[in-house]
Amino acid sequence: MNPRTRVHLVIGIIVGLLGVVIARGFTSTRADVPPEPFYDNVSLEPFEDVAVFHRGRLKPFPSFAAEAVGFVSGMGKVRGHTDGFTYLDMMFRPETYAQSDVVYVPKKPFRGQIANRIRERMPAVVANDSFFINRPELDAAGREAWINERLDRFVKRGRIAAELLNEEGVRALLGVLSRDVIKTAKHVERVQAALATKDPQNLALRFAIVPPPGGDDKTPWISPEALFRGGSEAVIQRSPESAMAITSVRNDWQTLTRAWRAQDVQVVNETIVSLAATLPTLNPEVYPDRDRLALESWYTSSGGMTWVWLFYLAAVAVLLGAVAYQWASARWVGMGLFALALALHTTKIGLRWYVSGRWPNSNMFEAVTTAAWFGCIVALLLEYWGRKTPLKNVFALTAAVASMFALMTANFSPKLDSSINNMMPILHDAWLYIHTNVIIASYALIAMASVTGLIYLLYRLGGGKRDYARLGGAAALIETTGGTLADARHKPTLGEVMDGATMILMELAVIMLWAGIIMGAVWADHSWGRPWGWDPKEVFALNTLIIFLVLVHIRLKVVDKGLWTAWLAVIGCGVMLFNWIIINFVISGLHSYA
Amino acid sequence: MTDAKRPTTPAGPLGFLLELFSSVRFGITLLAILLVYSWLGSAGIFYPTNGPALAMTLGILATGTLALVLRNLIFGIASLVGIVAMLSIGAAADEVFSFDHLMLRRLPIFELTEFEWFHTWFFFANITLMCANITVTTLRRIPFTPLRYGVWMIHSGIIMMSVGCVIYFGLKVEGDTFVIRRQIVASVGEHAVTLPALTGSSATLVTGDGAYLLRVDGVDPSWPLMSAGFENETAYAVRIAVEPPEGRPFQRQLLDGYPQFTEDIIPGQGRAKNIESIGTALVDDGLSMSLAQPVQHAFWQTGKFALSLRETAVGEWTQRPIGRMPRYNDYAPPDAGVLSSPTSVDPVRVLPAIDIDVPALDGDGLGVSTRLTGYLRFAHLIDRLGSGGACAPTIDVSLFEPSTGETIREYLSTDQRVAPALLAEGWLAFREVTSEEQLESLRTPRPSRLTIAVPEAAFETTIDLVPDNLVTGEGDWTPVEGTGFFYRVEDFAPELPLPSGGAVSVAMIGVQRVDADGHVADRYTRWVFPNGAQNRDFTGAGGEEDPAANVRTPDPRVVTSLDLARRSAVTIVTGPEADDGLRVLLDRRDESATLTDLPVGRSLRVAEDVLLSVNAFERCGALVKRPVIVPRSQRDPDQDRALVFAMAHVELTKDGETVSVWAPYHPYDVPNEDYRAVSLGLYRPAIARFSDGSAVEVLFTRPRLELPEPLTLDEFVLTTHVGGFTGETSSIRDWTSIVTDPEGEAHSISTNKPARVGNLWFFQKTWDPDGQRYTGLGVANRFGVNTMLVGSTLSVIGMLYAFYVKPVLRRRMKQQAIEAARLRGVGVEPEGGNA
Repeated sequence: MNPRTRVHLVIGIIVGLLGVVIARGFTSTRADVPPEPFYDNVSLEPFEDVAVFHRGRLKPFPSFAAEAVGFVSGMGKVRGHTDGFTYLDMMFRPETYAQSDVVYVPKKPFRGQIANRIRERMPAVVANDSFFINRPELDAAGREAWINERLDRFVKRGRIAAELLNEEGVRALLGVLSRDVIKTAKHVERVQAALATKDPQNLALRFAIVPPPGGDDKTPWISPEALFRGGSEAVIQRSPESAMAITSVRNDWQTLTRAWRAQDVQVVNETIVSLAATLPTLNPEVYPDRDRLALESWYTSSGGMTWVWLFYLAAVAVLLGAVAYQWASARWVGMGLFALALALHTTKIGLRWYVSGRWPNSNMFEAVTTAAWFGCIVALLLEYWGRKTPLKNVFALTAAVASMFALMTANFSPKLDSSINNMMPILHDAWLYIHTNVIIASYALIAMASVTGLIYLLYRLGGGKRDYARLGGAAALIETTGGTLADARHKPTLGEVMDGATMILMELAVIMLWAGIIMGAVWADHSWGRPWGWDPKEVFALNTLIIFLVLVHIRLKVVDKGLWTAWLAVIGCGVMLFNWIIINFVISGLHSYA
Repeated sequence: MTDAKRPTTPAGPLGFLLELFSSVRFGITLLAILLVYSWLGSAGIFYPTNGPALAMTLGILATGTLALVLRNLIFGIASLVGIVAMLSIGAAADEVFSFDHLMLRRLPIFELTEFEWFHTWFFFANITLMCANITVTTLRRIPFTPLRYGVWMIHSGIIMMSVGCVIYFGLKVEGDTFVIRRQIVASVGEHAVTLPALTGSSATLVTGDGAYLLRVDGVDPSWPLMSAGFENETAYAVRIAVEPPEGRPFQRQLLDGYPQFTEDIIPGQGRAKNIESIGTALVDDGLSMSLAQPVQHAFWQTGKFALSLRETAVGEWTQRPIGRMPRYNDYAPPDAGVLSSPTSVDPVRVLPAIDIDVPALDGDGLGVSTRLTGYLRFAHLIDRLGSGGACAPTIDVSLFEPSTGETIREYLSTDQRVAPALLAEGWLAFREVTSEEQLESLRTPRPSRLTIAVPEAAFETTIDLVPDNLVTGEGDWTPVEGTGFFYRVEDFAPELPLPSGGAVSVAMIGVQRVDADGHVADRYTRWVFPNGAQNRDFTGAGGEEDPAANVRTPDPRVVTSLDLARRSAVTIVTGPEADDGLRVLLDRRDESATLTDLPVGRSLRVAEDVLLSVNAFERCGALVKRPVIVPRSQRDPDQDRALVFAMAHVELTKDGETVSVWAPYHPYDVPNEDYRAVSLGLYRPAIARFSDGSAVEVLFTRPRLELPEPLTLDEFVLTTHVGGFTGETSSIRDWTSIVTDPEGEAHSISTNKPARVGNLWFFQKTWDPDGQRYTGLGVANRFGVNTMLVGSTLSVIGMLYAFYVKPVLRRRMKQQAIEAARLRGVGVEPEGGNA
């Protein structure tokens, strides 16, 4: 088998695997669930543009509910219901959730400790009838088997019933674990906060959907529940003319509560319509634009970045064929898929920008998704620039791979919170847009360079020669006129193409990273009082730069330039990821939000 | 980037050095060293903590090594795949691979902060060698031609940036300060006092007619004005409780910027102007009070430490900067009484004593030499049984709850000056009996009793709390002869259920003080609990508007105690003979209370899930403060925040006598506890007492420097998002401090918008969420920043030139050469470069 065939074989396998993943993504459907007349017929659509005041921001009910339910139950739907329905159901019918496994507990080892404690206390648990109110038919052995089954599921997936967390032995365990502030206290606090959030009183009081009649934009919103706790008198005193509307909201709320508990679909739907219509009239001046609310609702409920990364995945599969086999049709299909993915990506970014009122780069989720977008934009420009060179398709491929992984991380990692919240005060600065964007764009380029580096390593693994781009990076495009990377007299090998692409991306990344570090120093100088504080984030940005400075200089000295370049591009990407993941989540610093 | 033409090199050492510093390989080596050094200082070393992670790590290291040795790409790729697998599996499910990391610079052999790690001789040497390498290489190997302008710009930019760094870090001064918003100036005639407008601060204004006791009860940053013409305005309000030498106490409210609205409030009666018998805004016209702006003259340096000393509690602090300090480990002399946490599962190793001389600066005049002999990074001071001063029979008891693993450790003494006699709402007591009859009486039921004493009149009475002795309605008051005090027992509520599940007993006594004219000067209800520390006086001063102001600490002139009828469920008894051990009287709710011996160290089940044990018993015991080290697992990972748990062991020597104290850390050496609010709620100076009767107060703090211009805080503005401040940081948009220098120039300081005053820059750093009573400002200079900026910008331009302009120039040169050759009739084809 010759080297080229081996490379083609490897790429073929990768394409096949990607195809399987894409097929699974397209064909995955919701798990079959038994029909639920109440859930199936209740319409929360009128609440989609109802604003909820939460953490200093007015957000649509679906976004608010997604945040709250996500905090209580982690990723994934509860009982297959929408988050909005779950929120209201937990609030109005809390007793139906007491024994349901709906409280998310992070970290598998931590879950294992809780499960073990319950198993240790199994006789007491089995003897406690209150745990089995919904399963009266079980005998002792059945009870134990049922608890064990649930515990296995809990350890695997993370959800457990509040009642089991309140079991005496578990409470004692949590008390002990809360004393270890380094390792387990934060998990205990997370669980306790989830339990507190799930509390129906808390859910009701946090549901601040009543705008302040007679108030201004700095007046707090309140919940309908607060109207029943003396809040309505204060509101009516401030704005007597709102008395009728406030009374209407109170009555609607009372009706909704009763109807929801009675599972009366018709009354629930009517009351929801009535509430949604009344609330904005209480203070139209402070009520947010309902179109914006509706857009944010759509953004929240449109499945995050799932479709975007699936399209990038499809583009990767086809573009690999285009790069490896130089198929013209693969180029156009691949570029089309890439453009489609980028269009979707841009729509998501733009929508988030519009609904949040700021460019999305102020938390980890936004930084990751926006970095990927920057990478794709740069790739598109480079594709245009190199459209008549052997580098064509390469940049799109690297950007698609990097974006696919970035968006999958954003989609699946619970550490990346996709909710839209206010920025920290320190981030309200022009340098947020300059420094942060330049830095994250450089990170995207570094990731892309590592893709070409990896392909180069695969090329060498498959028996490729010690090829490298003789003119370096951008120079290869600038200095040559005939569409070659080195010498017009021969067709460039895959090794030369990948090395050239790595250098082009790396050069851009180095400049942007260095410029970004300097811009960050300028910002830090007027924000923290020092341009450079040896913060771990700063040091590791510098470390990433050092890797590439070594690369630039080592190319002057070594014979096997392509191999060194590829390895250092991959290592540089590793250091960049170390900075973004380990430094952020393990070693805290001043850049905790970055 | 280097020119192919090699320069001539002189022979000998100079030649060797020139060659070395012209070497690209040497530069790459220095860069690699810098990378490793930076990595170790910033992230430390990650190491596996479970089997799979260890196996995977060893596997990766082995294949990586083979890849290097055999120069085999397969092994290289295999190790890369291993790393990726470990990262991805570990990120998705960190239970598979478990890692921890070791911060090398925190080991005892280093003990360096991040800043110090990057300011060691090794780091400076590396950077210096790199600069030399860049300079020599550039001058010797890179001709100054248009094609090489980019490299020249990059290298000269880096050199310039390095020079800027030397200037910047060499002259760097960094710290922070607080500026209190207002202070209260109170005067009667020519007598005046000032006190900061911080809740709880107090002062005594001594006049010819007696003393006014002043205490700041609270502040409100947005007090709404109700007066006509000011309806939509708010003001910064300060409320001061005033206890005049004669007459009734009152509260005075001052509104910043509105002196015309100053008014007094009579506790329980409302605003003075609305009281028919007064009818004016002020109860006491003779007492003048106003708000002024306190001036801040100093700031405190970041990352440095100092000792502050003074002879008396009202003197000025004198500072002695401490040189090189430990940072992350615990050091203590063996006799310093350091205790390990009793619940620690990860005991902290205390290293041997350090010995740091902390010399006095010129003009100190204290006559005391100081040394630092210990440092605890994370500890707290607790009471331990010891000896000295007032002493009484005292026990150290533990209550252990097996089902939860919770242990409570407390001290009980027969003398309340040493420790309380009752614990946990009175169900555990410690008594000394002097006769068998007294012991027997403890076993016999009797009514609850209340003791009322007025020490100044040597008055003490004990009242059985039976219905006949309770006064209901407007019953008669009983005078305390020789004083203006009257009392009556109004109510007794045994075992009131608590929301937490327990119960508490409380007796209520009405107390009033009548002045010489027969007017009621003070009136309150004393709530008396079995645990005297819980006693409170309810005055009704705040009314419904300010419930917190209704309660105050007990008037020390009236001493009360409640002795419950029911024997404590558990009573530990000592006596009647001196050599008698401890016995426990267990009340099992029947007539046959049991008496059991309880030797020290043995456990006794006193309730279904409670084991009682006495850890120590001292017949003449006293409590002394000793530091307990907090286990590492319980330490706040935020190094700055955790500093409040640091303490230094200081040895003070005066005339040959050495006294040691543990001095807890304070971010600022504030004058007294009135300033506790700005100092993270801390004010705990250690006091070193010498045998000649003199004493020195010691604070472990930071070096204090003078501000170039003293500052006052005009205004503090909290800008919020929609819905106002909710108590969450996410609802805050910005904080703005408007400070004024002595010339009257106002400077606005907010996040990302520092202000320059003198040669220092001020940054918005912290704020006071509890009333916006002060602002916290970062302070720093910034010499050399522009040099750094120019250098780094030059290097960026150089990169752009080298990567994108140089190829254009080369292409033009090639085209010109081709054109020239063509003109000469020679065929030329384009060639590749060698980059």
